[in-house]
Amino acid sequence: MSFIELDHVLKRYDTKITVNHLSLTIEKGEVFGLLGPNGAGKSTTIHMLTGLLPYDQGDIRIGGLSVKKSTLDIKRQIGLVPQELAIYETLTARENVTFFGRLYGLSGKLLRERVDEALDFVGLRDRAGDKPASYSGGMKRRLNIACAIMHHPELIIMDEPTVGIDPQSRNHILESIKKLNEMGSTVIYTSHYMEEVEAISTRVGIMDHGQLIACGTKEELLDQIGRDETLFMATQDMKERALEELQQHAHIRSVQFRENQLELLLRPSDTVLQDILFILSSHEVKITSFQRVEPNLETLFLSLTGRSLRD
Amino acid sequence: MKNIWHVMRNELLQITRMRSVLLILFIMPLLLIFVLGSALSSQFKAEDYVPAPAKLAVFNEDSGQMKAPLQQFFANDQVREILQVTEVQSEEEMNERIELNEVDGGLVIPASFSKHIMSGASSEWTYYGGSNTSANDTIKILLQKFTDQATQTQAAVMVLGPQAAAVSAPVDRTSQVVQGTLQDNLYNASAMEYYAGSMLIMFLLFSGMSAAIGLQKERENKTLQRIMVAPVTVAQALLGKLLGVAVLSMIQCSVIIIFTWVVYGVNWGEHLGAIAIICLCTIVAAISLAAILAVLFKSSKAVESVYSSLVTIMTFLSGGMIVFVGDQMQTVGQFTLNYWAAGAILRFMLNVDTSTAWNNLYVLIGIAVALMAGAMLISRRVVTLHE
Ligand SMILES: Nc1ncnc2c1ncn2[C@@H]1O[C@H](COP(=O)(O)OP(=O)(O)OP(=O)(O)O)[C@@H](O)[C@H]1O
Ligand SMILES: [Mg+2]
Repeated sequence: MSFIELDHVLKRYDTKITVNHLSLTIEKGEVFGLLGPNGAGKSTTIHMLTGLLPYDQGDIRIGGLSVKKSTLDIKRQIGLVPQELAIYETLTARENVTFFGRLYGLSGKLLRERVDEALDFVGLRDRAGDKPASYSGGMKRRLNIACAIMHHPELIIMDEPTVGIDPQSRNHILESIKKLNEMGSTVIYTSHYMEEVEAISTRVGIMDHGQLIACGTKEELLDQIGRDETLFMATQDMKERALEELQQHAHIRSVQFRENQLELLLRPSDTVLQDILFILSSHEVKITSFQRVEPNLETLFLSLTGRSLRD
Repeated sequence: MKNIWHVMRNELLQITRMRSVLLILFIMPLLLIFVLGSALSSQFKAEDYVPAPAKLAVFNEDSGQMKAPLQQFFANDQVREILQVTEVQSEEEMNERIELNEVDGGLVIPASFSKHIMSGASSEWTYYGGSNTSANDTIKILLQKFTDQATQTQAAVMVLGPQAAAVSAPVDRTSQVVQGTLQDNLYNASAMEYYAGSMLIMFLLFSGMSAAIGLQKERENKTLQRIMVAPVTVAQALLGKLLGVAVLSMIQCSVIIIFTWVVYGVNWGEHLGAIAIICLCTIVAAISLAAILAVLFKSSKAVESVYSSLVTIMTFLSGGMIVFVGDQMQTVGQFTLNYWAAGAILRFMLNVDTSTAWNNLYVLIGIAVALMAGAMLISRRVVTLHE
């Protein structure tokens, strides 16, 4: 039995199906990245996980309990960082965290300790007495996180926690996700920034139009598109012979040449780059610029849907 | 239970952070009561109520059995304090006097009046009003009282036969009639008391608005969502928030009552317990109404404007801003919360006609319970509908 099991979950708004027979399992201790373009159904999935939104078909189980039946028991184990800021502007940071802490049954000394801990964790301890109105966007986002972790939840769900913030706050947040995971929480994390998801997830699920179109570790996913790299070169004095020799190389899968631009699709190997340089220099072809593109989830999404992840 | 308490405390904490809201809650009502009370006190004949009597010209063609009781009625001491009757010899003379403003109105009693009444048929007299509306109203109310008595007599006639007429002569109860008329119109209230009562109700109704806005804001802020993600039920969250507003309103209520009592000398009377129940019912009704509106309208702006228009219109229709004596306004007023709440409060304050006051209160309780049930029924949608 996995920690989280989604079993053919379906959600409709009126007649529009926004989550379509989604099946997924997540183990304890994972950082699961849910990747998908706008409107893919990530937030909808998360709202169903937290019991905020009822689902129409299938079932969701967390720790063996159905979300439909034992909502309150499950809610106690979850901390949700919602996509949109959900904090009281009129209350100080400390009052915000304290209020939500009380709703999770914390009180007295333990509550005070946990509130301090959470504020420390997101780096807002020294601004704890200020109202969020005086905060930067990144600080508000961090407070948004603090409000979801002071009860040490087993499962932390973050819905695009890094949207629209400065790089410094962003790194801070990514670091804290890693730390929370090390401290024992399972983390589910949505984004449409594939670099982020690649960097911190143990496994990645890719959603599009309400469906899970790929799921696995980064390596497993990249294997799906064969790990080919693309090499772009701007050249001068290109020779026919040189192109023929490149085409014959065992690790070069395709060669395209147009207006001095050379584009090679490579199967990575230890020697292929050296071979290419050797062939070109032996024919006295000059190289004026050079760009190598590694395979990534972006290219995977492109190859799966024919669209890019962000518009 | 604890969750309700936490949510309620949070609500109060938030409200106390909003200076403008506190200003509206506490300073505004006290100012309004003062301004309305002193500016419009001339409309009232306050404690030392000595009305200039209304003048009525009567052209009486009837010489039947009703003539004597009617004359007796007009001659009654208490009636004469309010109504001066002049007999005239023709309709022309009556009209002339009305036109010259010598009298406030004229009454024509047809020759068949007594005969009709004594035989149990309906009686018809005609009243011609002048330009002074408040005098018109006074005259009409008095004439109505007489006709009511006459109708009772009629009923007695129909059941017991003509001899019953003598037994239940209308004039016997004249003094009671006059007393009742005065009380019905609450003329005994001073301007301050009248406005303290109706403004109290109006501002309690506005407390529903702060509940609705609070709920909407919380929904728009997504903090309501966050509360719902925590192990809290929908009922706990809603109840907590609404209780927060209710507690604040009860505090507001006490401040208004104590302040107006001490500073403006408004006498809130002996029925403070009943007044507290009225306030509570009004708050419950207002908050429930607000919760219902919060489901029907999506943005807090819409709820705010719909609700405040509703309260203002209700307060106006029920006479909370300008006193109406006219019958039509009274009828329309009955469809407002204020009518029942303010009516009951004023009667309890003045300690008059408390049986009507209790009846008003029962109606009010009914309205509050019905609205609360309605709100409960659709409350789930407050959280899930526009998420
Ligand atoms: N309350 C609602 N009523 C109707 N349709 C909705 C509602 N909420 C979401 N949707 C639709 O469901 C689909 C999925 O939305 P969702 O918010 O889950 O996407 P997302 O993957 O989180 O996108 P984003 O990256 O923009 O946050 C969208 O097409 C959206 O229009
Ligand atoms: Mg989303």
